[in-house]
Amino acid sequence: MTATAFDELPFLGYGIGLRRTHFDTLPAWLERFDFFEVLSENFMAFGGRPREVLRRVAAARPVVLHGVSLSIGSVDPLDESYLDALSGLIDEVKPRWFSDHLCLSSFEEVDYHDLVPLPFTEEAVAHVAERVRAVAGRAPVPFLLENPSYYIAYRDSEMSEAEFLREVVTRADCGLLLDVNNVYVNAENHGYDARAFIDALPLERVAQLHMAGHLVLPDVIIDTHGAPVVPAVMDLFRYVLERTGPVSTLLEWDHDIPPIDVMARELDAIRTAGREVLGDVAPDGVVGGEEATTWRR
Amino acid sequence: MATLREIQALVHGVLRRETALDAGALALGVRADRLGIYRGFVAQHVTGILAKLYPTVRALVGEAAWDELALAFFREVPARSWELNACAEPFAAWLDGRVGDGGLHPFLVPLAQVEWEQFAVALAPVEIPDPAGLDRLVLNPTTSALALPYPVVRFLVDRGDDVAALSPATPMPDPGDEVALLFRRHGTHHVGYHQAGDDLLFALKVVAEGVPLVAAADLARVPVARGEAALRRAVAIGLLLGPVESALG
Ligand SMILES: [Fe+2]
Repeated sequence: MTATAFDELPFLGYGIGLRRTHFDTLPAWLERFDFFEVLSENFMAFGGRPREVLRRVAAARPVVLHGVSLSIGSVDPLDESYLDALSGLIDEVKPRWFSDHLCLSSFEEVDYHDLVPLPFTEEAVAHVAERVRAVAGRAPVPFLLENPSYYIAYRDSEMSEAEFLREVVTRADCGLLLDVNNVYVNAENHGYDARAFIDALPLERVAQLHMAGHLVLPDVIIDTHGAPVVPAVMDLFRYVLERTGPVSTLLEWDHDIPPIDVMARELDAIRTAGREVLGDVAPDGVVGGEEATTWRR
Repeated sequence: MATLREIQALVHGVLRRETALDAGALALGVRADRLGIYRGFVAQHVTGILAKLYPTVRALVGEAAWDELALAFFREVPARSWELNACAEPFAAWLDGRVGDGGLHPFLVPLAQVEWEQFAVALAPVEIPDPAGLDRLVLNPTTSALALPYPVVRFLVDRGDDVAALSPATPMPDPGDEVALLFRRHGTHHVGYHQAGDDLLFALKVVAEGVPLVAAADLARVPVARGEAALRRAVAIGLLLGPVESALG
């Protein structure tokens, strides 16, 4: 991919994550979702029912892959067994793109299954950019990095989060999966202005958005993906779209996952907010097997 | 200024509970309460997956003892896989090392083995052929056979899978050898588990050796009718796939 290609990736419309709890109910509701995001690790190693459902969904709708264990920021070598399994899934599912988080999730070959933030340093920028290039270079589809939520600010950070994010994706020449809820959560937890943060990002690289709910505790907001999207995040979503034009938007829900009808309703609220900004824009490539047409913004 | 490696090593020490939270936070220059969020999450991912995969062991151990056990496993067995479920695979072997001290009953070890195997068989990346398309009897390729020192399948069947009815007061079974057969059903993906009695072992032998039923029955000194009934049962439960008739001639 070249530096200018990310805003030319197809607009897939509005989608949700493919979750086991919806396997039985999903077929009857499929038409309410334009695309699906597949948590790579939930399918990479497995056959059985998940694989069968994944094949059916990928034949009917565009699919994108989203990972949590690439550990792109770790000082460990890249995990070849992980990359092999991921590559197998990419070959089988043919996603429009794949993504992971700007963080580390392992150290000295111990996995955290969580997203640990990186210090915002020049050393980390160079380290991550090189590894993203290595990963993206061997994949047949584009790679996006997501801005994670984070709760600690390292004393040794040398730049702001927005500068860090901009530097990494620019030098790595990858796309940006902008999690709008994470922007809100981080802005609240670390006391910065969410809109100024968005203005400072290379928005031409934004190829996908995440929307999600969070948990407000007395002292901190936790990015739980376990609640409806709050109005402030919906406002921030409109603010982003005013600057990017149509971007494939996904509702993330990972804890206390509601029934499929509630997912459809919550997604419709996001779709409605999108339409308020963009008007009626049809998604590209609604059929999974077909090549999507490109919508330029 | 600390290097990227030094920062990650400091965080790692806290997440693995090798460094005290306050000391780690001070060294990193971060808020201890916020660093504690990660410390909690990383352990909870592992203890949570143990609770999901070993519900029967958990019920028999009881909540308080279980929490202690799960956290001890997290500390002693670092997660070595990007796949969270896979990090729970060493649990039975680890439990085996703790039997005796702490009052852990040895039955819990083979029970944990069976609970793990139920998960592994359910998601094994193996395709099960459609029985309707087969012209001879074959073994279900997801089949796993476990030789156990306790009658785990018998225990589970007797309890009717009712985990809620189990507690530390539930009597554990006496030792006794058992071969447990687990496999995934074609179509439904349901995982069946069965004690390998004489009839199922006979059916497995017929298929494994590819001998006609009459010859196998003669060899095993089993009436042919009983041998055929064994084959039909093995097909009915999904252990064998294909037409029984193909083995009759
Ligand atoms: Fe996200």
